[in-house]
Amino acid sequence: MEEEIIKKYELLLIFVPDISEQNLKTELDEMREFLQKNTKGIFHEDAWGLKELAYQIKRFPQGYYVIFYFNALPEQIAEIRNAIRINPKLIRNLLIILPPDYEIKKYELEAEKKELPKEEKKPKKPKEMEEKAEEVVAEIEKKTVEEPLLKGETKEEKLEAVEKTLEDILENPDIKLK
Amino acid sequence: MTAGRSKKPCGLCKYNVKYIDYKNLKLLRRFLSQYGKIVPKYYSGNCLWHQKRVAHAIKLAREAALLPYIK
Repeated sequence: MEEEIIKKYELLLIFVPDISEQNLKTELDEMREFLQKNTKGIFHEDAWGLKELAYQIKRFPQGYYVIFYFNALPEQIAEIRNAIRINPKLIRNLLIILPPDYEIKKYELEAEKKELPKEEKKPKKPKEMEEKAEEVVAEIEKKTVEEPLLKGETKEEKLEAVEKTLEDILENPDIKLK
Repeated sequence: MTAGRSKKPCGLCKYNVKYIDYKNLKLLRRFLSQYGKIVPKYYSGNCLWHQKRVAHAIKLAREAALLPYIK
């Protein structure tokens, strides 16, 4: 059986975020040339750019993501792994075999934030309550300022006022007394 | 766990999904718990074939720093 078995592969690379744009271009060009020599052909390339990582890798919170899709023989992959291992600008790499039916799709990476419509209803209620509260407080203040509880200047008049208030309290049906 | 088994069918078998990509974070986030752990089969309703592939894809995404190990 001399038929060559060609398989599809996917290579994901994460670069250091401190790189300048020129250095990035040179690195990507070198990888492309290397892959085109040692493999059967690249059929797609995807560069995501700077992206936040889910956890820190070597104290870096972000990284440059680049993906290569190519066809290759299974014997050529050992050389690719050796070349990636030595490069000091790479933080992570992932080599994956793809099924022969694979179609390239674009996926959304960031989670959509759900809007909270409930927050709009809350500020209406406390405003109405505040307005009512202010009116009630104003009425109470008017009453307390104009009418002192005990009228009269001399002791006798004050005692009569106290007796009157006591009678009002005892006769009031709303107030419960033992 | 096995006594109170839920009867809902596999949600991925319904749409006949054959390959689960590790970049498909929208699908994978459905099978993660509040703290970022993989949800077990009896909870999500997956069949064994799909559960293994979902777990493998989540582990690849964790290594590629697209999903966290722990929140």
